[in-house]
Amino acid sequence: MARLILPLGVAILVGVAGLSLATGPTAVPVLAGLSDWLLGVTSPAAMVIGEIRLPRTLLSLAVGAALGLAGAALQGLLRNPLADPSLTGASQGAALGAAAVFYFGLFPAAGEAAPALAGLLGAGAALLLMLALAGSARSSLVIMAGLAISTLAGAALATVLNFAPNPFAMQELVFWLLGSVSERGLNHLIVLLPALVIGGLLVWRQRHLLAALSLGEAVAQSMGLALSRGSRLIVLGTALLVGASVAIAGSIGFVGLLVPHLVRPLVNHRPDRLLLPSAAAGAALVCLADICVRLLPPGREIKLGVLTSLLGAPLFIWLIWKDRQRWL
Amino acid sequence: MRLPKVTSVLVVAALHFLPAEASGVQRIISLDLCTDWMLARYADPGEVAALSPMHRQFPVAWLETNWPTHDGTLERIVALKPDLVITGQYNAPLLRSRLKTLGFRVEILALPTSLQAVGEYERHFLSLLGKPATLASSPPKPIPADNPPKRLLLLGANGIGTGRGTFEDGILQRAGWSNYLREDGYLRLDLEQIATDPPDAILWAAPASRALANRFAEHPVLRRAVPRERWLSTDYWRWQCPGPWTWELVGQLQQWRD
Amino acid sequence: MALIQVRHLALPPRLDGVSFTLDAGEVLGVIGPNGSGKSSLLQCVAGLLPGRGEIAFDDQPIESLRPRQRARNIGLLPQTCESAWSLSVDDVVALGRLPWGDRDDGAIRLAMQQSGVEALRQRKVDHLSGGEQARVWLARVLAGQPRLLLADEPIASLDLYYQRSVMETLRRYANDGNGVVLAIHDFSLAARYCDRLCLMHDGRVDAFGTPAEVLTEARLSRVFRVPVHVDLAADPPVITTR
Repeated sequence: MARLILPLGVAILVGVAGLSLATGPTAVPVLAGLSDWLLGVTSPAAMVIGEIRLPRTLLSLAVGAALGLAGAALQGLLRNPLADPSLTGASQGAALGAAAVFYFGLFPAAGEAAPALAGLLGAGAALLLMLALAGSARSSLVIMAGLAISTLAGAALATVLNFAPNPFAMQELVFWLLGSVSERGLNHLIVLLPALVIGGLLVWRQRHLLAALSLGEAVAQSMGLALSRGSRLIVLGTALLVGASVAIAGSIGFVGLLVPHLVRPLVNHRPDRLLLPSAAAGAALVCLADICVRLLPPGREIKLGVLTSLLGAPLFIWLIWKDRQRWL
Repeated sequence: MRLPKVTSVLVVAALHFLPAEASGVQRIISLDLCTDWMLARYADPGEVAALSPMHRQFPVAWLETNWPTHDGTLERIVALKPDLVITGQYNAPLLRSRLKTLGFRVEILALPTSLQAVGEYERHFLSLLGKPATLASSPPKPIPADNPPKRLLLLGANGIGTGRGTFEDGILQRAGWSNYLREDGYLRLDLEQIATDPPDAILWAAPASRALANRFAEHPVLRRAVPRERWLSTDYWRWQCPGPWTWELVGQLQQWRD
Repeated sequence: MALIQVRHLALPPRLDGVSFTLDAGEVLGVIGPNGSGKSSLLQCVAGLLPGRGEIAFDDQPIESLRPRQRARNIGLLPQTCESAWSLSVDDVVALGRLPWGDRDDGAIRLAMQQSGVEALRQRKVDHLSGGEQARVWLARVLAGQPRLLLADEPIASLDLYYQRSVMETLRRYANDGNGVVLAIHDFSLAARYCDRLCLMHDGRVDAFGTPAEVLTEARLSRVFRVPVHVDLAADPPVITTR
């Protein structure tokens, strides 16, 4: 069963992507549009499929993969099933960094990638602060420290938006806190894809460390694994994944919490085997949520994060309940 | 650089000693952007105690920046001892009711909702200042539209388009354009529909500084569907307040059409 | 030839000039009061704590071994062990192969046989009893086939059956030509299963030698500050407080 998970995940991904290309307010022949677009033929169908629905589909897949992977990596690193990008403050840190650079037009030399780079810095700083606050040995403090950091970063984000030159900035707090992939072009994918690949590789290469960490830091170290260097690389990889995805799509909550938790029983709870299936499941989940967003009537666009939170929050409650029963 | 300021102070001081005009108002205060502009256009500088802070936030070329300004607080306005407070229908309701309670004269102007009402609005304003109604502007002659008329999409922030039956729609039509949108009011646009049936031109009226609200307009598909030279842009707040400058907008749009 | 030689190992304030030697095939029991430095000693040898002094493994300075090589030769069973995830016994034991970077089924099966957890291999480790878990953690270390096994109080909080089972597993592992160092509080079991004992007191070696040399009434009474009765002639040996 465990070996079939990844092929199964990829098959589901392809199906969801196809569904996403076929979903939209205008009726357009999907395959004809796609082939027109690939061949460079200018037709309305090519425009709608190739330049509106394809970027949106690919972005939602990439953002979901990044969040699923980041959640799996953080949970493995912190040995805590509640660790996810938003509960550890990484998402809010990334949003703060990205928004500050975006609205004030800082670092113009970096072009389109500037908010993503700032998102990386913000997510990395938030994670490091959280780890320093929690201390590596006490994983129970992780969530409390994460709450402190995310509250701080959230307040700083609101302040930044308040002073932004554009009068619409304050309204856009909703985007940064709840996320959306609408109205994005392929240029955003060019920023996100390298971050996904590099961040994913950084995390993937530490899969043995994540596996060993199941039995604690002493065991991991005694097995000859570079604990502190590996942990730093995982934090860097996670910051890359979260920073870029939040800079492009805002912080879509609960994907990083929900997805590893759903996938874990399918991979016999192994934190190393969890990584890739989590990425696939995260991609499928966010893309599906975005399809639902598009099916709602225009003008009432519900944010992506609202849908994922509606799914994720009950799970969160259930996790707390289960944990409580274990101690009673 | 200081010279114009000094001059204006001198002018204000000189005017102060001139006999008051027939209306008797000498210390006028406005509470919103539209009344700021009207005051700046029609009142003598010496009669204006202060404009609202809005006119600094949304600058226009013809309005100088050295007008006296209040900060929108009750204390400050009371301290300025205005003898006439002017504001638009939908602005500062709490502040203006408090000023009324305190015994200040507050005049509320109903904004025109059509081009025909602009002249009447101006004349009403002039009468408050005690100026002759003949100073009011007169609309330019309607221009015959092309056949078929060119379709213009008036696009604002967050992908909101301006539909029929609006003041802006009147301006477009007066300039000989046809509104791309057929429905009434302000509408959330759909990218796919515009890509499949693009307008002849887009008038982009939104704040220029970066925001996600501009993402709709920056989407490559829209840039492709309507080539760069057919994108027109204007400061979005020029559309917010009717007045004599409305005819300038009409003229500009007409020029663009040609 | 000595399997491991420790010379003047110091880690202020926990260890101060600790020296001992262990040959292959021997079990060394490290005894001493709480806080006397037993765990610190094991962690220094395992490379988890940065002690000063010389440690030679197979007559090679231990610094010459890369971390991965060191981990292949020296396995550590920490005092408290817990799995963060609900892993199967099979997967936990397989983690012991991480220093080798393979999943050697032969080694894994052998380790499970040695510690008697074969019957549990499909079970989830968090559903096992404390005694079963202790043997699973031991099997994890054995799967790495280290030539020196360090076990930090492996029988603390186990019942009599599992205490004996774990001790016999360690004894057999040493008999196969490996070295075992274990921290232990039960002197009777230490006297029965260990070839040598190292009595730690305030970070120093108070005594080192065979159980008969180290376990004297006077020494134990002094170090542990309670009167102790020792009868090594009994079978099994009896060491208890008066």
